Amino acid sequence: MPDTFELGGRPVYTGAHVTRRQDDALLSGQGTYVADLRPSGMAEVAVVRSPVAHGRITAIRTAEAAAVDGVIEVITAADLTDVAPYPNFAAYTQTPGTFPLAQDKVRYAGSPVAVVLAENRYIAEDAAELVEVDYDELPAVTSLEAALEPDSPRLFEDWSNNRLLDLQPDDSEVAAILASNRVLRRRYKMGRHTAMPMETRAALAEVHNGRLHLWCTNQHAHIARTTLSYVLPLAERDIRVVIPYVGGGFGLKQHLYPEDVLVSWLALRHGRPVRFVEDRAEHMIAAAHARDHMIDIEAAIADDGRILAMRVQVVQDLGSAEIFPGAWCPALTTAAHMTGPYDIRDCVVSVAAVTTNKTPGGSYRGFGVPEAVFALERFIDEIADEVGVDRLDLRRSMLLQPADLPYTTASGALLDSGSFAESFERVVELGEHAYRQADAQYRSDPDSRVGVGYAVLFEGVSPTHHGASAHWMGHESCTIEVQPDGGVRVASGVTDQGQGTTTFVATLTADALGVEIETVRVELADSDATPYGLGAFGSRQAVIGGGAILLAAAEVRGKVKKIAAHMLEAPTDDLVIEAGRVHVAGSPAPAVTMAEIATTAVIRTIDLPPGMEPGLEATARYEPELMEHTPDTKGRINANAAYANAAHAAVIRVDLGTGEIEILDYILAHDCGTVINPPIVDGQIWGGIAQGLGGTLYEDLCFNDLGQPQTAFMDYLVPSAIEMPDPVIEHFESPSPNTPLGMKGVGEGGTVGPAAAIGNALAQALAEFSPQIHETPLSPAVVRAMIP
Amino acid sequence: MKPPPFAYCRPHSLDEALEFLAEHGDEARPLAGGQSLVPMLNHRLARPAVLVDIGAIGDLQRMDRNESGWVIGATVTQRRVERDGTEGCDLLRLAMPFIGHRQIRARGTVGGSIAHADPAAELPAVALTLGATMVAASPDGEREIPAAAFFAGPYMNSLEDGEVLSHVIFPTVPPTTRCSFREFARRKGDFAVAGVAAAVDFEDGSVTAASLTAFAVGANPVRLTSAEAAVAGRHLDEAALTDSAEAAAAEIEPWDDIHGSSQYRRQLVAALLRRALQEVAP
Repeated sequence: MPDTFELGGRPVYTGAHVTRRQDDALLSGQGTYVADLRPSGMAEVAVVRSPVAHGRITAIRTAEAAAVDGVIEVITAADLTDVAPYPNFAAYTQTPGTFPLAQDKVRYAGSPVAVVLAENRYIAEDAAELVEVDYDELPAVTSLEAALEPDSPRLFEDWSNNRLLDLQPDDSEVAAILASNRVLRRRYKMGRHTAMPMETRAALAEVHNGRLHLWCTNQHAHIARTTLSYVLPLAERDIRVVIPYVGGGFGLKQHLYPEDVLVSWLALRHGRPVRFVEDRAEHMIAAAHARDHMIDIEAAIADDGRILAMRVQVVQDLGSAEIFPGAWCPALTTAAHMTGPYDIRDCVVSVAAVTTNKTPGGSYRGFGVPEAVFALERFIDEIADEVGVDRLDLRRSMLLQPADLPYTTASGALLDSGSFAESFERVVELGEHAYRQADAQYRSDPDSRVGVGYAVLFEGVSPTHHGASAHWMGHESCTIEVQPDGGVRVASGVTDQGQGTTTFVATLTADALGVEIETVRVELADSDATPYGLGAFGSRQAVIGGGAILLAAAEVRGKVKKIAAHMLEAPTDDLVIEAGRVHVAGSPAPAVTMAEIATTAVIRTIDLPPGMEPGLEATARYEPELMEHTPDTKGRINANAAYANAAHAAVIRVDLGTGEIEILDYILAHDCGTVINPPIVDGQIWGGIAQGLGGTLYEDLCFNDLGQPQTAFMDYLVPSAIEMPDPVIEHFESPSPNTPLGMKGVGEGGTVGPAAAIGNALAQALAEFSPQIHETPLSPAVVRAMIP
Repeated sequence: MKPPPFAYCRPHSLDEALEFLAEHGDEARPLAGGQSLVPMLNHRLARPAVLVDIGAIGDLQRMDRNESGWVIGATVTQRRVERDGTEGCDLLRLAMPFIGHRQIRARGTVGGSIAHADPAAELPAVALTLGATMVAASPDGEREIPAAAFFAGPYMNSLEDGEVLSHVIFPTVPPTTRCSFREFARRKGDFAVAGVAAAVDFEDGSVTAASLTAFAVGANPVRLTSAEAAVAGRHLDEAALTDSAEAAAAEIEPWDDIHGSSQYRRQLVAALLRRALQEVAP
């Protein structure tokens, strides 16, 4: 790793409580979202969506809708003659051939079939009701089990089955170990839920001087731009993507949705601004769903319960799979996390991702890891019960200890650092104490049972994009320019969905240049103003974006010192930069300011050292050296730049009358290496726990046998502040030797543990009834059914 | 989620409102706090051509106590009832915090909730338990409808064309009557998965009269007559609680939905009723 991954001097802002840059605007209602943009002449769309889960379109009649006063045009797939299907770069998958509007067939209820363009959304919705579509209904495939059946109806008739992805690695070595040992088998399932950002999806397209400007909520300005150029009849140079304030992404906004393409096409065609703002009812059926995994584990068990080898099958329900980038990568990520932070050397995982007549699955915070952690951590508790050993001791006997690091997992993940055993022991200490208090409080209550459950985990962070797209890899970019007044402009491919990206960019830039943070202006998420980068996914931005910032800053810093050395007539190596002033170390005067240096660099260039190029800026790109993009012949891959770790404990009370789980205490110890901004890290963990609890206890996207979605927003139970416990959060800091400053990502650690911790707590609380806890969500009705 | 086009009027007297409603017949709907009707408009589940906003009619905002009980005008907000209190009508006080969230109660009205007749709503259950009287106004005058005859199915009431609910009379109860309101919802403020309301009178520790109601377990709130019979004349000891809870679970006919099966709702009603009776036991 280059030694330029260091701050210029003593950190002033890194690790400190720097106030988030966007908070004033957000809290005072000044943040401008896509829904706040109203360029003059703007028209709006309403999308006509299929009410049928699976069917052939036999006719679409649009004339009546087109005749409504205020309607500009009604379009169907037949009108999009110059639009290409979304590409698929993954040779190892089958191709759904996703098109922005349904052509011939619909494969989920909610699928876009036609678009009404009108003067406003009210008129567009009135007219959308008048579009008549005839369907020949087909039998719907509504579960992954059904999709796996050999005679299942097929969503894509040119495929021979419903398996978009089907990877069956050689399992002979593991099979031999299984054959000669005691074997335990369990099946685990995680339900379907998804992100419910405060701001729904939105896109506004305009044409300026022949170029398309798309304002949208996507998490990547450049990937969105490139993808639009693949789909639309437009050169990439003629597209600008700008992402204004965004009210939460969580992975759901990683995908370039049909509506993004459709408003762009309509704006180009009509030469006027066209906007789509998704309403919440649409969000429930047309924005990506997530999870919906089934995991079968077979493990060879030693007498003391230790896992000797595992054979695992992961199946992910993709819904209709009509989404870009594709959604199979969570299943691969599940596979990569099946051994957890344990010394399990032999583990082979087969992976299938199947299509069903449900809303397309996609990215969501956690991205396959909650599924793996739930299955493995429940499994370990079940082994302990089966074998008759203590569940904590069983974990201790397998957990990676500091001396084991660096450790390469069976899936190829390089765990170069971490506090697996230490964080676990700390959480056990706090969890057992909290449990004893809860037990004392409720022991005499005949309607209550209490339990404590644990989960310990690692999670890959800062991954390659290749697993999802088979096209992009893992770099990030940064341009730093010092302007004549000494102010700094920093532009990067990272994006901000409200999580504080802007703040860490300013923080690292200020410290790496030795300037005051107030002098740093951050430009993100405008494909015209920033160098090509990959944006927000997989808890990557601080690590990889941070690396790019440090590289660019090192180059600028070097030039600053050379110019200052010339101006001060002092040796370059003796100089330090502090608070925007350069002077000889140990003697604050004489000094030159950043403004004087930058003025010399770009205006009074006559004063530059002889032969030096004018200008004071640098662009750098960082791609982690050890990150791999494709697996080896045995399927192993180190797909992430870093691996964070966490341990969770949940202390719960179960109401035997209602089946309700009350969380009495939630304890989490987290390790994301070097921390840049402690309050932001805490906020990420809090939000992550909320979403993890949501999927474990409350949120459930249900479909009936016809593939009809059953969960309206009213019934989609996002936990509110009242349902959230007040968690205890403890920090461990194990800097990675392989990442800039030792940073690891923090975005997802809170989300991946709750299902396992609560499942294990429930098993303990209800132990007298021998409950079968193999699925989430654990709704009160499900829990009540475990109680006689 | 935009409503279809509609006309809107905001009369200042009940007579004027009744005229509008008579003129437009089926096409018109009265609008009170809008906490149910407006979402239904946005989802296009209701498509009235005319909305008659009854929020500016002073007569519908009365809230006073007379010899028969609390007289609460149709557009009195739930929050006002909660804040001002209804002495002698404890069950109403107990039920109020379960209605949505405070913001919803600040707009939502007593009359609106009762007329809307949501199977999972709290106020219809309170009305049934206490034997409230609904007063309907029409151009022909007023008509009294007992709660037991008012609810006519899910989201249906027995108001006739041209009638509007003008006020509700909640009877006050003697100080010896003890009340409990229990509801199980998935999150605070959600619609009930199941709930029970109880108003029980005692003499020397024995039940002399019990009015027990379950809600969110059928088309409308339902009096638990078997459960009432199971406690009549008895001390509320463990055996009485069990008998009553089992009777309640057996006599209701709940539905299945994504929050719970019929069987689960029977279990819930049994658990909630047991707790309600424990609470009121002297």
